[in-house]
Amino acid sequence: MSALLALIKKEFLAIWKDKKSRVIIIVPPLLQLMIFSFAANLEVKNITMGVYDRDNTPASRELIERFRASKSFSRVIPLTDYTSTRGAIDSQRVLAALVIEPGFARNLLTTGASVQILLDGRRSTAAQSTARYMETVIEAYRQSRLGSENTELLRMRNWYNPNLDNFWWIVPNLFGVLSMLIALLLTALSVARERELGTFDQLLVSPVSPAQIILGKTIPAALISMAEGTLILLIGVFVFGLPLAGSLWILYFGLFAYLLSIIGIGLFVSTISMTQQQAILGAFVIMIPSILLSGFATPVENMPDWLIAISDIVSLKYFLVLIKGVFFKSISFEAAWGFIWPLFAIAAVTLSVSIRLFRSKLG
Amino acid sequence: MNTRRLKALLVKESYQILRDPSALLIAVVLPLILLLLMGYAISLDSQKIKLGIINHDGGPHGEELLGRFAASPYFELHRGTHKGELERLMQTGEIRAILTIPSDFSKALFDKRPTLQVVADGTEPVLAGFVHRYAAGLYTQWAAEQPSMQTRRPQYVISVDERYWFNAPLKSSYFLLPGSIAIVMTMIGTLLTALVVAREWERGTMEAMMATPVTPLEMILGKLIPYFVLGLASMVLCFSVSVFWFEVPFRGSIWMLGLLGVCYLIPALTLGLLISTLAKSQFIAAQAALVAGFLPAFLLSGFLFEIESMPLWLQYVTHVIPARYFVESLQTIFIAGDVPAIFYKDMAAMLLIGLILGRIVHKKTTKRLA
Repeated sequence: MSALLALIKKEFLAIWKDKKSRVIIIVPPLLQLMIFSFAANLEVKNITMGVYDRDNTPASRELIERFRASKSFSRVIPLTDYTSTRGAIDSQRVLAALVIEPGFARNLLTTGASVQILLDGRRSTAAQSTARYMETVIEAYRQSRLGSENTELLRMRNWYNPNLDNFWWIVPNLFGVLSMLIALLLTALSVARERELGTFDQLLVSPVSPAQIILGKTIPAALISMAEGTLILLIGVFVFGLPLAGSLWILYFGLFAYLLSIIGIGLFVSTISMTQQQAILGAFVIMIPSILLSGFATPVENMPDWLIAISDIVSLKYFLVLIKGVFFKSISFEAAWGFIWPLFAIAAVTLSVSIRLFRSKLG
Repeated sequence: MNTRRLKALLVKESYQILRDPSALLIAVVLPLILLLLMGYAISLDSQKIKLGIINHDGGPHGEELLGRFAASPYFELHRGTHKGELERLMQTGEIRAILTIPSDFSKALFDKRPTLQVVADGTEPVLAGFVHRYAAGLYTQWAAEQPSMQTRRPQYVISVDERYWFNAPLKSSYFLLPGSIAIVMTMIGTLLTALVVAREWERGTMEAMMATPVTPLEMILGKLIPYFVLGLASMVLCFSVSVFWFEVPFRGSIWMLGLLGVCYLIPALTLGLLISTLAKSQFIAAQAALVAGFLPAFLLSGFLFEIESMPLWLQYVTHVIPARYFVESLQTIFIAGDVPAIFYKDMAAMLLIGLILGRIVHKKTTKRLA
């Protein structure tokens, strides 16, 4: 036990005594949290659009005014002909262009007016959202011309995040990703660094058992990532105003299971790596698919079946549902357990495989 | 500069790359995984949403409307009888929204358009917005077809003709796959270079090399050229997979693409070099490469998230990120073709950043060795 404690202490010192590595553990995750919370926004805002008004009547100008007044469009650039319209889209000066056909005002009452919307398909997702916004503006214009009583067709509400605050989406996601990043890198490097620097053999001839070595490596990593997670949690609640509706105990129990599963993977990478470079790159090869398959950016249910099957072994997937459940939906322990036990299962498999590998490398 | 010495260094470094499985992992395996996932897993296009349904309406029209929802490619219906049951499903993410049809729906349909209620899971804001837009669209369309609602007043029809240039099938893979090339080249250029050179510093071999007749310039070039070649090779790999496997159109000229790749590798490699000069260990180099190279390329380059939608201060930050220019050019050259105005502007920006980084590296390296 005292040998284990000494190992843990040594591990902490190794990370803490170096000023640069101390900074690199604390600053980047926080920097990432702050910057990427603002960057990652799948909603399309501040759109620049162009208008080529071939009708040039009070009716068409009123339609253009509606676009200028709309919140989604920050700039409406007048275009004078098809060549300049084409040029504006080609050079990405505008994402979309509205062409109001001649006779717009005249035909509005008779055969039907027509407009054309030209969109930059290079950014097809943003373009599609833009098209929906433009349709909404045109529809509102039509309704106001009709003088219709503006019946509310759909009463829309959003549970858990009533204003669709983007921070409420991205901060929990980053919580999962950043905790994984720290825990995975720390454990992946742990054994590999000793091996590369040649101190691993010294460790082996010292009177500590392999189990103690492994624990001595994992516990500091777990504690550091746990502390890091707590820091992100505090920032999420106090800076970004996340509600934290559910139980803190479930959150920490889930975080513990999650970190355990990540550490298992990190140790696995570490035992099969001969150098630190291999360990870091190995961690990368695991991290990127994990993020993409976790449902962070796009829902898992939209993926093909064979990828959904692979996503079942991605810890981040369970943790993201869990943490959003705790933060916003105050889920019960029974519901949360459905996402916690897979994490323990992943941890059990990866940890026992790495311990076995570790032992066999010693023998 | 002595070419014979440089050649010897290049041979040595190339052997080192070929012998280390992790370099090939990052140059071949990871790009393939990334492209595969970008091609199959990440689709930002129309999504199928699991929609919970509560129908309180006794009449025929509620079911008729639901038939329209069921036929839509955007929704998958889950029927429930009361709210509590569906709420539990929403808590665990099994459904994303709940549509409620009121009890007087069929009756009220003849007087006015009855209001439907849609509640979406706000923890996925994009999906929530999507549900609202598509549900509203479907209902409006259905309601317009109902005979009881056609008034005698003029309808003010406005027909909207939408055209998506360059990407008529509206596939997000058309811009995600070309963008992935920037990610892969950032990993090789910045991450791998930072690690390799940091290792030399960490082990003290950099200083040892200084005692040999090798000049600093030869040494740096000896390190950079192999990774430069590796970066270009992985670009060819990504290009081939995107164009031949995922059938992303390539409408520009291949030479221009090569030139853009070269222009991007210069700032990417110098950034890696700078990180390794400043960092003392590989762990620090890895973290720094992640923060300064990889994540900005992923999140701030316009590859996944629209730059225009970011807050203004962050939009300014994106200007110093070389990947931003590369991604813009890549998306253009693949599906729009050659637009020289964009390419030259982007190349100039990338080279300028490379030049500035190069100056800093030069200063720091001489200082470190002095």
